[in-house]
Formats: sequence, structure tokens, C-alpha cells
Amino acid sequence: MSKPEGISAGQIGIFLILFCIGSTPMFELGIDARQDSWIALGAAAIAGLGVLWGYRTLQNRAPEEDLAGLFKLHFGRAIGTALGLAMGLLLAYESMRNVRDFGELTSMTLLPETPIWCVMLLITGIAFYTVTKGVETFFRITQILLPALAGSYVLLLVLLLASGRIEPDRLRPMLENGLGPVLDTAFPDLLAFPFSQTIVLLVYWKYAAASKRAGAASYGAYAVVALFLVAVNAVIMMVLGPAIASIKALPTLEAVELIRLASFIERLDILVTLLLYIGLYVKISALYLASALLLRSACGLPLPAGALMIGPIIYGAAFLEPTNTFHLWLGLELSLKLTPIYQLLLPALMLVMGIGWVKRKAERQRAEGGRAGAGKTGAGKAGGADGAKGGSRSGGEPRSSS
Amino acid sequence: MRRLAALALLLALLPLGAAGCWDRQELNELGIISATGVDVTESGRWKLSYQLVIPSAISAQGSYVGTGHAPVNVFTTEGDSFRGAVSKATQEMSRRLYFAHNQVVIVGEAAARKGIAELIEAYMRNGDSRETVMMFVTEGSARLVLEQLLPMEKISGAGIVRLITQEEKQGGNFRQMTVFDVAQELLSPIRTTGVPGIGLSGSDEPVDTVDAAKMTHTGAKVRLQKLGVFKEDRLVGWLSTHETRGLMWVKGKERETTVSFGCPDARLKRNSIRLKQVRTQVIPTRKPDGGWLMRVKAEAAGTLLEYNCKGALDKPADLLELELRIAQELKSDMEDGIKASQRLGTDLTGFGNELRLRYPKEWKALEQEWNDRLFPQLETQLDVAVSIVRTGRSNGSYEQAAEDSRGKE
Repeated sequence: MSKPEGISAGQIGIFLILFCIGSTPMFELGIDARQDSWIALGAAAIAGLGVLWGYRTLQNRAPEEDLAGLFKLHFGRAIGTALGLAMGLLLAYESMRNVRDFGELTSMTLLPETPIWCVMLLITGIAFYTVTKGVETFFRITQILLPALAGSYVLLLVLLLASGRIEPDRLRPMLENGLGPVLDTAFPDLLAFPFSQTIVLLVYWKYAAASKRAGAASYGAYAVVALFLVAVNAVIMMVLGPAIASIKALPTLEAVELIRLASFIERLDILVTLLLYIGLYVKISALYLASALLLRSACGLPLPAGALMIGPIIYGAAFLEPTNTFHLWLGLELSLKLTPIYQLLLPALMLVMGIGWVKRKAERQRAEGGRAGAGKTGAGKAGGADGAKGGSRSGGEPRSSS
Repeated sequence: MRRLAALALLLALLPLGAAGCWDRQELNELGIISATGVDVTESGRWKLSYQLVIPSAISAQGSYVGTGHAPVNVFTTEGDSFRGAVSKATQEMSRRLYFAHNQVVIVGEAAARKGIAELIEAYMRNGDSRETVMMFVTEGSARLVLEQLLPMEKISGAGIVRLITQEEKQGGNFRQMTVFDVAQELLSPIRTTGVPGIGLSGSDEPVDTVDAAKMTHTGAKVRLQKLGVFKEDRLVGWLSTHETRGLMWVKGKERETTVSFGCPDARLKRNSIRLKQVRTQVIPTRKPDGGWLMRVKAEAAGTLLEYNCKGALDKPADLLELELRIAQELKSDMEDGIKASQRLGTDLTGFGNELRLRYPKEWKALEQEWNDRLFPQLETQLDVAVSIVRTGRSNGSYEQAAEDSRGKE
């Protein structure tokens, strides 16, 4: 008998850190607020904490359910399944965005001659392989990647400091045009990306249901990563200044490129590219895996089958956007106006309409499922136990009665 | 059968591992560029010159002496656009131009007066030619500077980088300006910058052949001289080296420099001190009549290098008077720098930036007229403090000792 899939609270925290870093340092987010971009990002991060609390509250109503299960609990079986599928596709879309980012980044920096189809095929292939290995393996990978990522970012920061390129005056005058433009930049755009992307946790939390500290670990990790992102944003602004930060496509790369030390430490932008690769890989795989998991719990599709279905969709959709400009416009302008619908409004609706009764319903279901199914200890993880080895059992035993 | 299919699939996937080879670059197919020159033709087209490194000629030990081959080759292409001109190089150069090692870009005066916005754009947008290259302006043609050989260097492009690095560290008259720095300053609220000038001095005989190395002296020398002053991406004038150094003190960019000063009632400045900048602070203040006053507080510390005046130097009180005299000297240097940039109507002092940081609201009203009207009339008040930290290995001067021994007879 295979062990049920389970991850620890610490793993959730590490995952959240890597996931939120993801491709975020690729862009100087909140640049519309000019030198106050870090304030805008900070404001969005604080609001994001509230959003995270909302997600966690939803999760606490039914700790062993994922997003699709929560949809079914709140909206009934039919609508729940539909919403679960839709959400799976949306996450696949988000994954696709990162695949395209990966391709564009590679063409722009490391391999300008290599066709983008090849680069994207490789990363999608790697992500596919990761997804077929399941949740536990993926979370262990993030554990391995964290020290490399954290160490490299610290190194870059130290080198930037040593190069004397950091000029705190570039953040002044603070709030030159008042708080208005800053808040306009922060909401809803910055809240939607990157901070509300924590919605994927609603897919992964259930695998850490055995751990009591999963919630605390998530909040802690979120605080760390939010501080990190704000700090990176401010450092880049202190190096480049608002004017140049706003014209460069890859500001972090630009800032690091300026490091010249001892006549041989230079052109470190390659290092940044590799760091962004790590972030993008985590993000692509996390969203891809989440999408496949939702498919599994929404309609019982085994994980490898789901991966095989979604992979080509992600890869194919990455070619739908004709140009990089279109890609960035769609992602950082248009879809940020739409994603709050499912990242914020839908969860908020569930939060309000489900007060009280959903928790009891979930408990009742679990009790029934527990009697019918795998027994006391296995019940909590039964939903996640299938699929790892081909998923012959139907997904979501605890939800089988309604 | 299944195993065979799996094997076939794996074999088919194997070439993917070699995907990076699309971007392979063979060293013997590249023409490595060490410096670029930018000129314009009379019709306004860009004329780009490249200093190409010849690997076989620089592989031998020593400077450019010895091999008998020129270490670099200079050639020029023309085009309406910057990269258009670069792409024309394929018509006359058998190697692909490789810009990653380009360290220097020299802009001729005519091109600088036409505007360098296109140059900055070309450097910012392309990954191969990076904006960390150092920029210089020259009064004549940029190509001429590229053709010169430097006495101690094989690759003159790299030599020029060493030149400016040394100058910034030791000489204290100029500092390095990369294309990025230039762009950053031109995009700042005051939209001005200064770019070190480079040119030929000495005899008219250019050093563009390795035969020149057979002599113990060189004709024309590549030399850092003057500061090209840019306003809104166009060259608007030049500052002298002396004025440039004064501005370095005002901006707080000075590291170390040698300052000469005179004895009381002497015309020539026969004494010198090696000064390090300790701190410079610019404080904009509002005058009662509504105008602005810039107070500059500069502190420097240094070691005496030579002292040819009379008087003892053993007590702190002895140094006090000396320090005041040096401070006065420094102050007049700084004033010269400020006046020169006021004369050109170009805020090279960075006063505008300081004003904006302290009075962001007021600045909005001043910004438009700053360079042309307000800055040239700006009142400044300099407050310079110099401390002589040590006096070297002598206490009193030789001059004084000589006089004392005469007195004893």
C-alpha cells in the first residue's frame, strides 16, 4: 500500500516563498507609482495578507478539501464541478503565462538564436515530468531549490551594495504626488499579481491537513516573501531610478548588469536569468500541478492523465499570443482587471455565504465518508491518496454523498 | 514492442539536450570589438568606427612592441540608423562583429552636438552591446582617437578604460561615465550631464603605426581633457579640466586629488597637498525675498606633499592658518566650476536635484526654467573646511631650515 501524499507545514512555507518570488523580480511592479513603487507593492502585500486570511478561513471550514471540493460544498455538486474545471483551466492559463515568460526571457538574454518553441517545449516537458511525480516530490524539489535561490539573491544584494550603485535618494521625494497614485497602482493590479496568486494554496493546503501549523507557516512565509519582494523592488529603484526602471523590460537584469567589481566580477545578469529560471520553473510546475489536481478532484481524472491533457494545452496556448508586447499587455494590464473576479470576488462570495453551515456540512460528510471509507486515520487524506500510482480509485471519497 | 517504442521515443528526445547549440559562437568566427567611435557625415548619417582586436598580434608578451603587426584594425561603416550602420559591417568584414567586449564608445563633437539619444537607445535595447561601456567625447573625429596606439597597451580600447580608472582614483579631475550613467543623468529632473573629453595632444604626428614603437617617445598622445557638457542629449559646450575638478568637489564625487596653493603674497602656487574628500553636503535654502540660496558644505582632509613657505608646523595652531589658505584655494576651484556651469546654463552641480528632494512641491514650478533662467542666477554660499591630518616626513620646511642656518652664522 502506498503512503498517502502528505506534506509538512514547513514545506508549505517554503513552497509559498518560492512560488511568490517566481517571476516577480523580472518586472519592476508598480512602476506607475514611480519612486513610490515599493510603497504600492507594500500596500498590496498588506492587503494580500487579508486575502490570504480569507483563503485560509475557507480552508479551515473543510481542511481535507481542495478548491474544487470547496466549490462543491458551497455551490452544490453541479456548479461546484463546473467551477472546479473552470478554475483548473484558469490555473493552466496562469501556468502558460509563465511558460511564455520563460521562453521570452531566454530569447532576450541567453539564447537569442534558439527558437522559442524549443525552449518552451523543454520547460513544459520538465514541468510535465514534475507533475506526474505528484505533490510530495514537487514540494521536496522546492526544499532543494530554496537555499540556492535565497543564497544567490543575498549574494547579489551584497554585490550591489559593494558596487556602490545603491542610491537611497532615488526613492525620494516620497509620495511626491500624494497617496492617490500609489493606491491606484496597488489596487487591484498589484493585489491581483503577485499577491492573490496565493490562491493555489487552496489546492495544496489539504495535503498538509495533518499538520496543525500549516496556517501559521503560510502566514509566516507570506510575511517573509512580501518583505523580500518589497525590498527587491526598492533596491532596483535605488539603483536605476524611476526613469530608467520604467523603460527597461527586465529591470532586475539591468541593475545587476551594472555591478563591476575588481575588474572581473561583472555581467552577473546571467545569474539573475538563472534565478528567474528557478522561480519560473516553480511557478509553472505549481500552477500546472494545481490545475491537474483540480481536474482530478473535480471529475476524478487520474493525475498523469490530467497532466497529459493539460500539458499540450499549456504548451499550445503559449503560442496564441502573437508577440511579447501582446503577452505582457495581456498579462500585466488586461488580465489583472479580470483575475480579481476569481481570485477575490468568488472567494469573498464563498466566505460570506458559507458562514456556519459549510463547516458543519463538511464535518458531516467527513464522518460519513469516514464510516464508509478508509477508516479513521486515512479518511483525512483519502482525497489525496489516489492518483499517485495511477489513480484507479475514484477521487474524493469524502464527498461522495451530498 | 513497448520497450522498443519507449526507446525510440527516448532517442527522438535526445537531440533536445543539444538545443543550446543553436546559439554557439565560435571564437574564430568573431571579430571582437574593443572600442567604438561615433561620427556623423555632413548629410547627417551616422558614421560608426570600430576598433577590432587582432588576436594573433596581441597573443605575444609585452606591449605592442615586437610582433610587427598592428594589434587592432579600425574600420568605418555608415548608415541612417545606428544598428543599420553596424549591420553594414558584414559587407566588408569577414567576421561577425562581437560587441560584448566593447568597453569604450567615443563620440565626435559633431555627432555629440547632433544628439546622442539614438546612441543611448541602441545601447539600451540590445543585449550584445551593453550600456556599461564608457563614454567619451572628442573635439575632432572619433575615428582618429581609435586609430591611436597607447604606449603601454596592446588594445587601446582597454587602455582608455585603464586611463579613466586611474584618473578617477588618483587624478581626481574626471570620473567614468558609462552610457548608463549618461542616460540616467539625462533622464533626471535636471536633464544634464558631463562626459569626459578625450583627445590628442603633443605633436601632430599620429601614433597609428607600430613603427612608432621603435622610438623612445611618442608623437601625439591620447589624453583626457575637458568635459563635454550635455543638456537634453546634445553637447552644448566644454568645461576646462580645472573647472571639472571644482565640480567634482561640489558634487561630492571627488576621491583624491592634489591641490596646489601659494604662500602668503606669492603669485605661484608652490606648495601642494593630497586631499581626500570627507563629505560634501548641499543644502538648498529659501531666501526671505523668495529666491534660492545653495549652501555647499565641503570637508576635506589630506597630507602635505610639499611646503616651501616660512614658518613652523609643529603646533596645531600653526596648521590652522595653512588650512584656511588651502580651503580658500579649494573654494575658488569649486566656485570656478559652479560659475562655468552657470555660464553654459547647464546645472552640472546637481543643485536642482537637491532642491527637488527637499522642496518637491516648489520644484514643480521651477523645473521648466531651471537650466535656462534660474540656475545661472543662483546664489551660492560655499563653506569649505580642510584639515591637514599629517604633514609627511618633515615638520618645518626646508626653506625655513635653510634660513635658520643662515641666521646662525
